[in-house]
Amino acid sequence: MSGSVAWSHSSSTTFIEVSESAESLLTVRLDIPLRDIALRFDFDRNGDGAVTWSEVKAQKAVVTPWIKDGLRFQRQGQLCALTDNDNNWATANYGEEVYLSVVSQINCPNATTDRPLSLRYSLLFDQDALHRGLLKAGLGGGTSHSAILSPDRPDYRFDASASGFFSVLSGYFIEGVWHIWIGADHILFLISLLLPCVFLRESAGLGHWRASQQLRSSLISVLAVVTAFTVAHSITLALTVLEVISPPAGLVEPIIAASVIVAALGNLTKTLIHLRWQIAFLFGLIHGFGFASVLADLGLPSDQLASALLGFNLGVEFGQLAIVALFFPIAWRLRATAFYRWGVVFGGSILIAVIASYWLIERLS
Amino acid sequence: MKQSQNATRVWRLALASVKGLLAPSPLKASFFLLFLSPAFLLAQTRFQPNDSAVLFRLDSQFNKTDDLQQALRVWQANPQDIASATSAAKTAFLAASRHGDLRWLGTAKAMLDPWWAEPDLPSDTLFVRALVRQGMHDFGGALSDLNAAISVDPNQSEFWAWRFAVYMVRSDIAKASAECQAIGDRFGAAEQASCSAVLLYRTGRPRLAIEKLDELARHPDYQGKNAKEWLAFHQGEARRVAGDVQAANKAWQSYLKQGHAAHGIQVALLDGLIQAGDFTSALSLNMGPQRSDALLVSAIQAAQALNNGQESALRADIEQRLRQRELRGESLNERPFVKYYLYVRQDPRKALEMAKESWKTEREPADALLFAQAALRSGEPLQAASLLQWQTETGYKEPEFDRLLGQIKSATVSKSKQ
Repeated sequence: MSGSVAWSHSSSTTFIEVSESAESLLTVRLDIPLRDIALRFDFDRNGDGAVTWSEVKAQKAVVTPWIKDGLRFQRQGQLCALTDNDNNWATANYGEEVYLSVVSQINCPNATTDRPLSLRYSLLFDQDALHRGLLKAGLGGGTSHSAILSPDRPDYRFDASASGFFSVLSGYFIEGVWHIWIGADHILFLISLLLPCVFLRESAGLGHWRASQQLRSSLISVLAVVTAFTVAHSITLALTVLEVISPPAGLVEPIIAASVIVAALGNLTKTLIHLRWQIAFLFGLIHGFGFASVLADLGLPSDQLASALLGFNLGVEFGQLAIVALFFPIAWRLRATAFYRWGVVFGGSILIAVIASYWLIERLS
Repeated sequence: MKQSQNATRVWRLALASVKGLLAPSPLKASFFLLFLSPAFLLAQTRFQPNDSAVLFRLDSQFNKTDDLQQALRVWQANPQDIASATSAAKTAFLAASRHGDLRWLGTAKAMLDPWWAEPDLPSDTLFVRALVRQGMHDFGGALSDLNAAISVDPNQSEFWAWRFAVYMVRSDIAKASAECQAIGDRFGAAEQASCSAVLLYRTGRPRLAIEKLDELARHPDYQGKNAKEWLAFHQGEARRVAGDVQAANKAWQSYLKQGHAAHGIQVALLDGLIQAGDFTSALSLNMGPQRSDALLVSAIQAAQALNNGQESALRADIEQRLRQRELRGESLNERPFVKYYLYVRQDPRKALEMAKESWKTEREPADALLFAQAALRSGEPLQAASLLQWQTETGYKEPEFDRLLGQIKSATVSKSKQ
């Protein structure tokens, strides 16, 4: 009925932890809520309503086969045996809930040791469709794995290539490149600041600037802008990902749009056009927040945080340099033409400012 | 007598509606699992208890009544029998509702799994599947099953009552009003009185609702256990909405003193005591050995206010549950965690994010209130501007909510002037 209560006790969860010793011995620790096992097995043999540890242990002979049936490791299609010893049962407390904690060795057939391990988890699904198995594994070669096992997805394959350092790094590198290439706001911000780099700095405005004759000075100018932007966004990207700072989400995107306007219109002023690397640094800090939100959307593996962060950042830098590499030779070639000065730098800056103004209004609304 | 049974049947399920459970979202789940995996790595310490150590008590851990025990036995003996599975699933759903225990909802779903995607089913099975679906926040699926159940067997008043309840969860007042009228036309004035009383306090007329509910409490058709429980909840809620928290608490306390298990009333009372500033009574409420998430969060609020040293242990427990919930990627059962982020962790931004997400599916006054509070505390009142429209559409009024909405409205007006 309306106004009624929807608040409930949390759902049932089992924790599965797989580890590998230096001697390549595989071990699994399974923590299962005792309450859930007791729905299936009659622990309370004396009928007093209270279940003691000795009553639980007395059911080991019937509970163990059930566990082995619901926790099946395989290599190359061959079932691995779970071996126990007399003392492999204990308890663990998760909040108010008491869990049965079972530790077993996983022994796979010798011929298959170089093949990836796989797991099918099906304990308790038949009595609780909301039950989940949370898998965490740290295996040889520094690979780590995590997964949520459910009635719809009871299988997991411990594929080493999926979670290695370089695999994560390359995956996030591609994401970084992709993000800068599809992120029109970042590109236009950078391009706006780079447009005047092929001119020699003069105290007067754009109309009085001379086309640079020195490739070196123009490249230094490009480098200053790109470096300032890179350093700045790297700082805020890292600080946000590491949860040192947490910017208001509603502000970041409008400020990024505003930064594009400032960068573009700055080319038309006598003052701001001289402050390009400073603008790149100041607003680069804000763009870093934007990159961080993309990373958050991707999901960061906390055990591979460094590789993910490094990969993403390197990807952004690579993507950025690719844009510069495309832009600069053309700008250098056209720098002395009226088309470049008035059509590209002046007209282009106005056009970019108009586009960014639209983004700003859109993001504020 | 028949009317009394009808009234009982119609409303007994409705009181402890379990809505806040699970919305599977693999991407979100994977994100949380990866993001929080260090916490997960910290597996709990294993220990060997003494042989005589009592690990748990069956009654308190299971909330397992005799009828549930019997239903489980029958179902386990023949899980493919649709009639016994339907009956057992309904019993499990009732246990989930009455005790706020989500695990029984999972059991109810497991019992219906062989027929979960079947379109042509007996009306009883369609109905119970609708109950489980609405418990899992699949309100569209629940309505579809209820529509089908009613078309197969239109003479079951509880089918209609639940369709009314689902409309109310979504705050679809127009459809709920039409449904209430249809209930009256088909099942008589006594049946209609219940839904119309709820509609009254949900549309800004709580005083009239109180009169109507108090009148129903004297009606011979409403003397059954379930009807009384339903009435006790709404008599208190209507008083709270009218601004009289003390009277609301009194109504709920009076019912609980009779020793009934009623999770919904417990939660309402605990919140009412906190609202009234009676933290000592709130913390001393007997909430059983296994507190639900909602009761636990409210207890933490009370302990925090009293600063009596109990808070840290309670917080450790809720943090454990929160971790599990995030690892699983669950977005059901949001309300207590929105409260936890808002009042205990003092993280209104996170609370706002959750409240906004929750508002997409659940639009009850309690959700609206939390949404407004989170938006205002985050300094982002415009994020909750949709509540103004919600109030216009529903007519809902409540002193505290009106005060918050006034602030949101001012912010909206200032923004439009800029």
